[in-house]
Amino acid sequence: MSKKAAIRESVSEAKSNSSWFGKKRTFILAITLLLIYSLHTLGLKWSDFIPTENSFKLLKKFLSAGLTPALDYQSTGIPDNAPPYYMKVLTSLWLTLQYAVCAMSLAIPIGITLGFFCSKSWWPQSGSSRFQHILLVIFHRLARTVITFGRSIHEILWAILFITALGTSPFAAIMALAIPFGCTLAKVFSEIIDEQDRSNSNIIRAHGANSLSTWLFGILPSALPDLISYALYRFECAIRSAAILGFVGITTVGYHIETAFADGHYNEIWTLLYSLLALLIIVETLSSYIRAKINTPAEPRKIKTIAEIGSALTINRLKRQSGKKVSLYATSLLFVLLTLVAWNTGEPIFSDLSSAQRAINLDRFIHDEIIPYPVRQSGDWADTLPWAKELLMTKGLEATLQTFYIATSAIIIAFLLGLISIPRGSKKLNISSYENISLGLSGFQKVKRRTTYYITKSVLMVTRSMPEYLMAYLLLQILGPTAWPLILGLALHNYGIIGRLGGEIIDNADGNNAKVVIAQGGNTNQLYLFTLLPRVFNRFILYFFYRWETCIRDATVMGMLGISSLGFLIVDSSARDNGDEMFFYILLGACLVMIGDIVSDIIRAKLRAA
Amino acid sequence: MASLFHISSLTKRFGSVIALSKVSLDIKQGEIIALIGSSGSGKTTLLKLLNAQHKAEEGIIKLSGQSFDSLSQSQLRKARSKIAFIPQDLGLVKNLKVFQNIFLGKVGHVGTLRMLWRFILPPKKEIQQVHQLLERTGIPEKLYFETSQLSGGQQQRVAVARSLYQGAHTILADEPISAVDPARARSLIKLLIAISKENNLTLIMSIHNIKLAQEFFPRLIGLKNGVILFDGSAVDESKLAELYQLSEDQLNE
Repeated sequence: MSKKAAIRESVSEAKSNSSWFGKKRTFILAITLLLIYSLHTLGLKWSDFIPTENSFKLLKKFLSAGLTPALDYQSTGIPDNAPPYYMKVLTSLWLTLQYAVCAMSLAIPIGITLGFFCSKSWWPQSGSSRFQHILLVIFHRLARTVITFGRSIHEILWAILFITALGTSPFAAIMALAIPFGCTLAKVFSEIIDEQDRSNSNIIRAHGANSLSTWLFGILPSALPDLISYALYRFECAIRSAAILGFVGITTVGYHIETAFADGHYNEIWTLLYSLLALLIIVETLSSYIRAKINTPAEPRKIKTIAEIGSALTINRLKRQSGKKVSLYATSLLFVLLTLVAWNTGEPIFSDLSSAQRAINLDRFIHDEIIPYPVRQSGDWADTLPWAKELLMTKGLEATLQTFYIATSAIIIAFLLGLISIPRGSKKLNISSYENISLGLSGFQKVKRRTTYYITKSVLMVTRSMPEYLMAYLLLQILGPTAWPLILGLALHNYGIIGRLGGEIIDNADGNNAKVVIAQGGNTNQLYLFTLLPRVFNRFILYFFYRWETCIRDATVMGMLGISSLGFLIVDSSARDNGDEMFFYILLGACLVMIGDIVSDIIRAKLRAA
Repeated sequence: MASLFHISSLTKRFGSVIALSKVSLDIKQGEIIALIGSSGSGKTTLLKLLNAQHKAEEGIIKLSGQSFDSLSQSQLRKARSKIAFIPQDLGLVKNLKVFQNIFLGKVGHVGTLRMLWRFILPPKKEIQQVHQLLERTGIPEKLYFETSQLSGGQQQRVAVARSLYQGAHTILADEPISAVDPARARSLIKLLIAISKENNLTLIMSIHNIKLAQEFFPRLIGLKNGVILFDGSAVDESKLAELYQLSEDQLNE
């Protein structure tokens, strides 16, 4: 074989070894085409962004109101005995936080229990009886089914179901959040546990431990920091979700934003937006502080030698000298107190209705409202099928596809935006360099870089803190009724998440190659595109699919803002009191989410193996 | 004196690879033994078989006259709980405190709930015992440290203290010195041997370094390609040379 032929062969072998997914250009080209196709199918044009005279006026009025948020009621004719405005804002904020806290205090035990049964890591290795094994498999399947179903229905839809069945009450809000959040926690908890290194559990088994002990002491401790970290992230999400439950009648922040908009009180909207943002940023800062504390061991106080203290090192002295994570205990206590207060203040969990009335409502809901209309007429369940087919063919399928395209466009826009802004939001690329190799920047350049860095960071923080539904709602008022606001609302929120995580991944990537590139005179963009990005691109794609799954789930409710897609059909049939149709569309959305989950799971498993 | 471990014509395969082939051994309580041989010679497999982590395809392995095969699951766990195993990576849970890792030595004796209770509210008596063991292994001041804060050498001492706390009759150590510098390696071997002699424990340690093995261990067992090449106190130089000779195939790998 000639040398040239050998090289050609090895190159083509290397190419065929790298998977389809691993190819950056192919991937970016493919998603860009998919984006164009989705936007085209949804009937969207870039010219939709050119504002009409009216919408331009509205935009100006709305944005200028942002400079002067309301400090008092904007409307006249407020009764004298009304509480001061700031109390109204604080009350709605507290209610948002309260529902989130109550829901999380239920979701965490649900997540731990179901997550435990969803993982196989605690199963006995061998020697269990056949009966025992069958029992385990049944529990496993059951838990998997429950969490898939619970997760695939969005919290807003759970809220609608609970409100229809039981009436508006704090209980509806709390349960609507607790069920999907508990199921999501269960899924991620079991994934985290299954990913733990098994070497520790092997040694504990070698000590003669039973399978439960092996799991409890060999696997759980090393998984614990990640479990806590994820639960904290879900807590932030719970606050966002509680806020948007306002759009279906629960009196949280979203409710007041919606009414303020209807009344044209734009300054009040900004007050609410700023205070919600402040709450979310405070919670995020607190949770990243807790994460940092958990992941670094406590610094021991200075250990005195025996010579210094003149007596033996007693155990008590050792205990006192060992580092204590006082702040960690304090924050845990804070959370416990917050939970206690949240459960014991405000209106009773079941408000408004007597328990007898609730029972009647529930009975009507289950035995009448959600039964398909033809079945109610004929009493024959066989009539369900033609009815469902009819719904699917007339509107359902089209709406499902629209929902899918909205979600797909949104995640692709978020991903591409993220790729572009990551070098600006990466500390190492933009400010600190690798191992402090001098970049020869002038004073002005340094200031410029610092400015772009902090601006990017702030944009990312604001966009990831704002609920996607709320952003879509506001954009809809300004851009008018197309699918753009839904896509952009979803895209912006996900951009905030991907941009932050991408920056962290780039900053934590092995910098050895980067040093060489800097030493060879490469600039920041070259460093990013040709050295760092190729190293971590696989992880980016992994995360892309994970967020895509979440986008599909969120997209099932976005249409509730009045844009044709699944959410629109749901809210429309609910408004027409067609409980059966509403339930059908909710289940259709759940199917879409489940399919998305399965596809994303398969792709991610392939990527991990690659 | 009856032997503690009795092994006769033991064979272990992993798929088509033969890890151990017709190995026969007798080990008495209190013996100090070095297992030597190159990587892949079957040292780790033999140690894991002694801990009943694997099952052999052929042959007999008996502990105090009882065959491992005849034990029920709970009896097997009981047997394991009397054998301390120190794997190469030590098997310490890094984000637990030192005393908690040592408590785990008794995980086979103590029930799950009681162990959990000990983790959260450590009883004074147990803490004192752990403290004494750490004094013996030379790091008493690390009692309340998080294990990840300790150096590699200190972590080895935690693993040794754990096997002492376990109350075992045998310590099986799988190349504990391969990752540390020569000075630390010597001091760890000395510590393990001294501790074993004090408590009349059987010590079986796999080790790469023939010099150290000859210096400290009264009985050397040489393994090559799953077969025992020699077993005794004084070993021929020629046999030692043969131990590390690679076959044609291995050289070409």
